[in-house]
Amino acid sequence: MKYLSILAKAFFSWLLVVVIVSLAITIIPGDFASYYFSEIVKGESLGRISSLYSKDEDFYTTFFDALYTLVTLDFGSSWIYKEKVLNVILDRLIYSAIIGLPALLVQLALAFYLALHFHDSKFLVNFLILMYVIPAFALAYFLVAFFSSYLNVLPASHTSYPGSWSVGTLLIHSVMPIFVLVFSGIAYPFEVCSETAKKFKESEFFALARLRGLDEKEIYRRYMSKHMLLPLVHMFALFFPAFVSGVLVIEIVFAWPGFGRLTYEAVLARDIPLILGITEVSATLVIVFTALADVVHLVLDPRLEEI
Amino acid sequence: MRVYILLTFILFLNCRANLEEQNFIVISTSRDIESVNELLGASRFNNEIINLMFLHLFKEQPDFHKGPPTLLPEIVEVYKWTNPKELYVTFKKGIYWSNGEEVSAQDLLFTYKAQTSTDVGWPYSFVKEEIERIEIIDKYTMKVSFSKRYRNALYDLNEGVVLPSVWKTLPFKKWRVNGEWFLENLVVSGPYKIERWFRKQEIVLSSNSSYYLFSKGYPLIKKVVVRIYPDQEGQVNALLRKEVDFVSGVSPIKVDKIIKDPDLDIKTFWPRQFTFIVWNLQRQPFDKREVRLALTLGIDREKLVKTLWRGYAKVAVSPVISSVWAYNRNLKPWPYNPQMARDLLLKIGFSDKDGDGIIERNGREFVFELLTNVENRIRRDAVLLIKEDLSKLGIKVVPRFLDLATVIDLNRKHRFDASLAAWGIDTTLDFTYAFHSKQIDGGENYGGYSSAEVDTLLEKIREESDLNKLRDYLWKMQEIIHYDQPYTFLWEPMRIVAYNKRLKNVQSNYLLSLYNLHEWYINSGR
Repeated sequence: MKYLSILAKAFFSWLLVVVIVSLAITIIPGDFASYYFSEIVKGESLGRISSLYSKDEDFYTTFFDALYTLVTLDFGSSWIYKEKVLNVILDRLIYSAIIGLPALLVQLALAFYLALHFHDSKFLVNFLILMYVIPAFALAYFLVAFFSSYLNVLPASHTSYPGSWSVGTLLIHSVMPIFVLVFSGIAYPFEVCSETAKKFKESEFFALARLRGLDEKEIYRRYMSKHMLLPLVHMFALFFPAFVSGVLVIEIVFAWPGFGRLTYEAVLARDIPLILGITEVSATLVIVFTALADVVHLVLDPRLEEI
Repeated sequence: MRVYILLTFILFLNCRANLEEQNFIVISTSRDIESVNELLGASRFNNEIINLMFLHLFKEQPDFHKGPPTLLPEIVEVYKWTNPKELYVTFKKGIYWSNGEEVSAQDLLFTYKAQTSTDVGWPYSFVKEEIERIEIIDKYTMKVSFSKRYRNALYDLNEGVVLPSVWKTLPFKKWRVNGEWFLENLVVSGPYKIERWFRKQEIVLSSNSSYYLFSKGYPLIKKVVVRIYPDQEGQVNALLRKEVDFVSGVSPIKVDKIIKDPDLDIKTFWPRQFTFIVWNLQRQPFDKREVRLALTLGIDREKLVKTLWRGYAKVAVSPVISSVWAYNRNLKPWPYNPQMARDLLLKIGFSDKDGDGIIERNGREFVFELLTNVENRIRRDAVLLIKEDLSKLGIKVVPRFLDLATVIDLNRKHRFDASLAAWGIDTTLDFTYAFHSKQIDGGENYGGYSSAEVDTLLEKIREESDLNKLRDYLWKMQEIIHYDQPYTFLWEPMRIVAYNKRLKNVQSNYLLSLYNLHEWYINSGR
């Protein structure tokens, strides 16, 4: 029964996304041709080209088109790239994932470790919140200035050195973007894990274990860590789409060819097939992973079934 | 301990060669190209890369200040007008595509068909409208028939590079949806070919051994890496770190930092552009010439040029910019004269009767929205400075920043009070799109300007082939527009390119910033 409701929830969120996107596309002012060719084409000749890149002004047509593309996964060709939308999107998703996935894993693991041992540290909380408050681009510029311009040990941008490519250089180039991704958002998972830890320490279970003569560190490691894993798994599923679908600011500062830049570009240029593809792919990611998080939660914590 | 091992590892990996030892150069740009097929791309930088890979019939020379630009034959060997509407063109022998085939009349015919195909949708296709047909006489010769006699015939024929006819294997209908096909089937005739294109990262260009000047050693630099930096800041920093040799567009505020470095230098030129405010003549009170003139007089344009452009711009006077041969030298920019502006406004009934600091007429306060696109920082700053200037006249400006697509949409539908925008101008010097009354509906006459005299002049300018008469018409048109002030002309910007001094013979101009890339060389004697 529970699983069915998760499925229903996912399905309706999907429908809602399609409705909102279709609505946005129909009412968004401006069109592709007059923006994209604004440097070249003027007057009557613009009309002729516009007809090649026109969108439906009617909501229902847009809506059913959007639904149809979602079911068939055939988004057509991007107007900017003149290539299959799905290829363009996958190409960029991979690069966002290259920094997004490690960043997410490192962030959660680090948050877990820090919360396990230093959940009482006022200094750490304040420090992590400070990192959270500093805008990501400022942190990124600082890192570039220090590690690239001053020390000259890390490359400032791109995924490789000019004219060459190898896995090793890709790793080196991903160090700073990953660092920024990890530290600009670590405060939240740390807080969640610390809360769980603190709650655990207030529980009778903890007092009992202490009475049994177990060492505090031993309890942390053997029992409390298991309690903290649950929110961690949940956060992983919830954060995954966000990390993979790219962070515009970081991609711009580090010239990283990710998903965020693609989205920005598509919206500015009113590349309707691409916008449709991007929103539907990222919405799908979010919905699937939210549903997955719910399922995992159910499996790990059977108590929920009773509610 | 492990951390140290990792650090040494990073340091070790990072022992990279610096620029001095590289045998290739790095050029940076803020925008990636869209396609290797000219007909499918639209941006300025796309055009730059296309011009490195493909040849034109003629090579346009950067001498627009002296008169209509000179065309030097490139693929063409000789051409002859048999009558004013018929042109015979003969190609040079011995120019080859990279697949080994010779560049022939067949290619030009194919190019013409592709350029005018509605399926392909080349944005420039309108320039080919007057070409009636192209007939092949023999492998190297063809006859071009124009529908009428006009002065831009040769420029129109020359517009767009010559494409390889082997591309005909992909039907026109599929061109716009299979952009990647052209990269896989790339056949070039110019100095460079694309070795690798990594979207949003870099384009690796290597010399094309079938280029007709290759045996003479051109291009001198055999490998060029173009890197895409979405961030202006990053581009200049990379230049300062010596990771980049050439930056194709530098903001004026960065110039000081660059020229302080003894290894770096800049070059400037006038791109054919001007920035202006268009007043919506369909709305009150901009329908009155006095109001528009007062607004021009009330804006300190010298200050805009000095603060926003650090002097790398000049005050604009008319749509024909001052670096073009047909610019009317008798015109002087309206001065900054707030007192005169106040008098003009008072004369037509604007005064501050209620003492709130804003002037009004018939009970309506002089408040208007000034629209511009949010992506452009200089335009945004300009709006704020103009707001400041006009507030001294008692006029309240409400800045309105929207994204470019929306701004264009509002402009075309005349749904604005005043809009800050820019035009680029081309060799035809045809300003019909912006000032002809026929272009109010569906055209680019955003402000709804209508003057019978300008209309006739614009029509004459289109048709005239005699250069002296053409100049007279253009001068007259500029005079009228200068008097009527449907636009307040703000500035003509300068373009700045920056480069590492190890590069020699860099000649950037308004046509292309990589105009003579095949003649650049690296000074290794340092």
